[in-house]
Amino acid sequence: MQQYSVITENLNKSFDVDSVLKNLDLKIIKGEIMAIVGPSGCGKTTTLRLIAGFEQPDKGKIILGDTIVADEKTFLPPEKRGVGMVFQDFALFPHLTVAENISFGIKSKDKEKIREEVDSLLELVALNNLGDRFPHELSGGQRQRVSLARALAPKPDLILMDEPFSNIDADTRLIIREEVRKILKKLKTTAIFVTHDQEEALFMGDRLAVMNEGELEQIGTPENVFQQPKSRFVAEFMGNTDFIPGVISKKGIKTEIGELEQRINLPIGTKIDIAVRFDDLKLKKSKKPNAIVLARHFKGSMNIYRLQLPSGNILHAYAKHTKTIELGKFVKVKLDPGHDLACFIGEKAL
Amino acid sequence: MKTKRPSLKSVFVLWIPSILITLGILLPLIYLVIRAYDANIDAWSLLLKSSTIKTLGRTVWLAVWVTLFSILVALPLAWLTTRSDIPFKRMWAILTPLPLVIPSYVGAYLLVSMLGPRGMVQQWLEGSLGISRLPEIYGFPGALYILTVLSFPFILLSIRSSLQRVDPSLEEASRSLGNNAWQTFWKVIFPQLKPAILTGSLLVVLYVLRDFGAVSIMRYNTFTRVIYIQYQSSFDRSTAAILSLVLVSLTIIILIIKQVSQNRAIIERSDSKNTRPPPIIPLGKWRWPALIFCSSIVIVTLIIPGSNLIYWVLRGVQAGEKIGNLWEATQNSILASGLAAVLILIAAIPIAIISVRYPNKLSGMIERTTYLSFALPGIVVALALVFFGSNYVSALYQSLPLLLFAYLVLFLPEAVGSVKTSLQQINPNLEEAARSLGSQPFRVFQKITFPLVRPGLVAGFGLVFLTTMKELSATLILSPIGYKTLAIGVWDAVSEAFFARAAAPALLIILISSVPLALMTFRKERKY
Amino acid sequence: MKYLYVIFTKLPKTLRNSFKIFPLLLIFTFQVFLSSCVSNDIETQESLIIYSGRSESLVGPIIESFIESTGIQVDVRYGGTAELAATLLEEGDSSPADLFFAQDPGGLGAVAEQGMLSALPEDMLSLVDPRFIDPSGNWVGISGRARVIVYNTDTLSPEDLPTDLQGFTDPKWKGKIGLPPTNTSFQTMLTGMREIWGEAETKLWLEGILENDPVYYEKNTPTVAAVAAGEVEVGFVNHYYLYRFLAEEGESFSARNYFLPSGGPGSLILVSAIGVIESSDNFENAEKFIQFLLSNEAQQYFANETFEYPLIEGISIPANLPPIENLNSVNISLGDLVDLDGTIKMLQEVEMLP
Repeated sequence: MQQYSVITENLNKSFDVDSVLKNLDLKIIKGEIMAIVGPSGCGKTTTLRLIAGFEQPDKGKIILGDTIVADEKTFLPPEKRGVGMVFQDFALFPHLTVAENISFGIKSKDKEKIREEVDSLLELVALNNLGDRFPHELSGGQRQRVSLARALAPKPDLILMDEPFSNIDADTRLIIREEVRKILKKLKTTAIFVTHDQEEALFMGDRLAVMNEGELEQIGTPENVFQQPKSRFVAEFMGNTDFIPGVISKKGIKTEIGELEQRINLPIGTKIDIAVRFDDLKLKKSKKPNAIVLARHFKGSMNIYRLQLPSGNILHAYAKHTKTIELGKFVKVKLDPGHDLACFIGEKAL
Repeated sequence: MKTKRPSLKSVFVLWIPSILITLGILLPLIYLVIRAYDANIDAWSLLLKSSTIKTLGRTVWLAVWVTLFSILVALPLAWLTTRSDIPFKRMWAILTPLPLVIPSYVGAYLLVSMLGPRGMVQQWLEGSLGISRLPEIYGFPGALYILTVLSFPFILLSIRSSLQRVDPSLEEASRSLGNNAWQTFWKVIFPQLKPAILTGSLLVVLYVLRDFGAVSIMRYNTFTRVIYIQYQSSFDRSTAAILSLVLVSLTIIILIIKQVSQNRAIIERSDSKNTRPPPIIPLGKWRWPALIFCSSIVIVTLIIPGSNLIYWVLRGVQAGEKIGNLWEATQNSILASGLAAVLILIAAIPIAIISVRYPNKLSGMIERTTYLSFALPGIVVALALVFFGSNYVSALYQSLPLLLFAYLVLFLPEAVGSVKTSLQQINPNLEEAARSLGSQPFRVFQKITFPLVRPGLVAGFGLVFLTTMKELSATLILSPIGYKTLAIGVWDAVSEAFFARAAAPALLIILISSVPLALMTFRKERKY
Repeated sequence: MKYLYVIFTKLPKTLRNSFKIFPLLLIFTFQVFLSSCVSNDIETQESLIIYSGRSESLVGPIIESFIESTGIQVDVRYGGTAELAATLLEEGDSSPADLFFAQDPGGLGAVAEQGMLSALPEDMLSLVDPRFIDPSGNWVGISGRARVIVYNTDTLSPEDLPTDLQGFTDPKWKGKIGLPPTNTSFQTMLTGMREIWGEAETKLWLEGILENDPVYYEKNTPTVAAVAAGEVEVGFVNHYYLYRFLAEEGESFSARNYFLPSGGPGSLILVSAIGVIESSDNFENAEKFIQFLLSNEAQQYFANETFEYPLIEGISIPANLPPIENLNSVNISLGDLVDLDGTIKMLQEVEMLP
């Protein structure tokens, strides 16, 4: 049997009349990093705050380890849950130094021991000589690391992170999140990580939970969620996806831009939608073109072309960075995924 | 680019007006120096007399204790009325700062009539319980009590607005690190409140220094009372001036202390993008003690004095006492206080802007200078303006403009403080963003800055309005001749022991100045 | 129609934008500025400006009847005598005041010392007992107040009280005496005491009183109130405050006056007084006003309404007020009691004043 660090059962929460969380069931395995991802307002932050104890659920149960921390009868205040939290705005105490911030949650009375622990945490987050600084003297990335060290200091069973990298410059963000992931893995800490950035979620999470409008859409490994989205929403949200209509044929699926050899157990003639990612397409100059180039996004290492098909459908396709096609030119676009594509009838995946 | 070099335009729009206003505020000091220059050696030797030094000590002692007690009362009240789920929260929020509107001489008279050696409470105790003597209220305890009751709202208001701005995630961080609400308050929130407590305390300390009404009725000799005695008994303006200069020096020392301790409490607002309102903490079983605390404060500071006044009015009406026509005095009071509040706000804006947007030595100096006259007894400021007004601008002497100017000199810091606090909350990027969109600076002020500082302006207006309503010394001497105000009405009746006649205008002062105070409390409840 | 609707819906928003009210307020302020300046300018020669240290509740009505009977416009600035004296001293020659009506001659003396009072005509001064005018003729007394002992009728009867002030240094009065040390009348009494008894004796008396832990009050009124309430048993005050209380509280008010039978400084008669400001160009009307205050009508008013002693002959006094002739008052000119400074110094020496 799996050992769970967090279990939420049938969790419900609404503010005034807005229901922000509907019947959320979530199980987080001990030692994993769970990335909760979704657009703003999807309920991911509320989930985090309910687990931390900053909000009280309207209905449902939260279990941390073996302890029920919230249900109809119980409500354990945040300070008794042993949960570390890293805030979006870091929430460092402005009147305390870095070292004092970090030692804030350490319960020990032994000054020498506290100093040692703070020192080792400073080393862990690579801020060795900054213990005497005040938060406002640090850069965004440094504050982030202090914030993590502070949350780790009481050795919590669970770390919650609420959009922790959104206040950091783009160029340092990549480095910081790599470091944070390394630290969490080294300490084998269970962590729940909330973000609206699917790329970040894919990188950080051992597993991903995609939420939308207060409900859990899909949960699984990054690869699983990315490659086999369970719903149109997930496919769209995880990014770089266009949809084109297709019809089940003898060989597979017939589309505007050619036939796809993919077996689907549906009667011939059934109409479906296919999720097509940028890299599932191949672009060619051809005498028999089937698309017009509307726009080119030069990304440095590659080009992304926006194409319009005769039916009016829009597709995006990658091309080499050396391959420059002028706007308004006609091209031929072809499906070339090399793997099965996700297909949908209505909102649901097949 | 937080500290900018002043542009040419800002020099004309902000710096020159600020400097002119500051020079105006310095007039009383110039006057004091002129008068002190006349003094003979006898008067100067007074400074070294042990009784003078003792009085100074007593004054500081009183100010310190009033401030401590005010913090003690204000801190829990501020927290309960902003952050807890106490029942009738809004009602408490509006009622608790109201004692600020009671003139100190009225408050002191009421206290004596209630708790004095032969006051109502004493008589009731004697009748029912046979207790023959309440503890002495005259002297230190009475002065401490009455001044605390009348000035704690300065700190209360200041803490309240600061509490509403504390970043809620700081609290959550502390909670998640294992501290309960109580520990979190002391370890995390209280340190953030320090600047607000300091600002409020400064107003309280200076209020105590300049108060005459309460200390004279309570017979506690503070420096201000000694200054008054110099005028009253020996018509000795030179000695009074020397003593007043001591008070000014004391103010400078207090300002320095405040400056230094503020440096130590490093407060940099964390760059939070959090706009969540701070969380409300359920009181649970503390609900009842909290309710009892709030209601006893309101009963002691407001209900008892208020009903006492109503009792006097009713008694007077019953005895056929003519209350007289208060309509004219009411109009005059509202007009003078309203105009003064608007004028003082206008004067406060440039000073507040330069001290927030261009923090440097000069702007800091200008801001602190506004406090210098704030600790001076009203009579001193009034006589200074008599001196300059009658001799140099006789056309304006004893006219409404000069009276308003006197109010400006006396009460400017209250407005500067309020405007400054709300300016500090505005991200300068907003203003720059507006500028980059091509707006003229004045338009920026009108469209961006003004709406955002409006809560501060409302608060400043309320504070100045009610202090001006109570003001007596300068009003008596500098108002246009025959100009009656409610405060003058109270004074005239009280000085001849017509208590019933004094009660009606006193009640009116309290009622009228409650309106802007309630409005500003109400406004603060809403968030931008 | 649609236009009207648009205007109607937009209007409250415009009004709510209080920023636009600011310029209006500025204009309004400016207008008030202007109007108050103008009203200063049109003060006619016919109007009188009085600085009155006596409160409006007491002298307001009699000033009204002066205006009615003479048609001369009078504007009064009420305030404390000391504050007004200080104001006059600051104003110097630019003072707008024509007259200074003071609670006591002390304030007038301070102003006169700077040469700011004009000499009054002899025929006016002669109306009043020479004890109650300024020897150099700069001010004239208007109404008299006798120094008395006010006592609590629940605990004391007149027989319990000593015949002169010396009696109160007896230890049996410990904690029972109330007095207002900052009050000018009290201080003038001490100045008289220094004149009559001499410096040493006065200081000794003060020290004797201090031995008895007197309770200090802010001024006369609270002293009387405290005696009636039993806070203290006797108080050193002027006579007329008691009658004010009797009028308001009725006969049950438990304090009465005791006029010291053996005379001395405890039986001094003090006055409120008035003088004309030197810089006034309205001497004629000012003189008319003083004459009016010394007329039968005004003197009768003071006797009936403020319970003070009239200073001219032939005025009837309320029945409960002992006639001035019956008081064993000392024959000392108030003009001689100008050395208030010396008294203050002595009070500070014995630490009755800070």
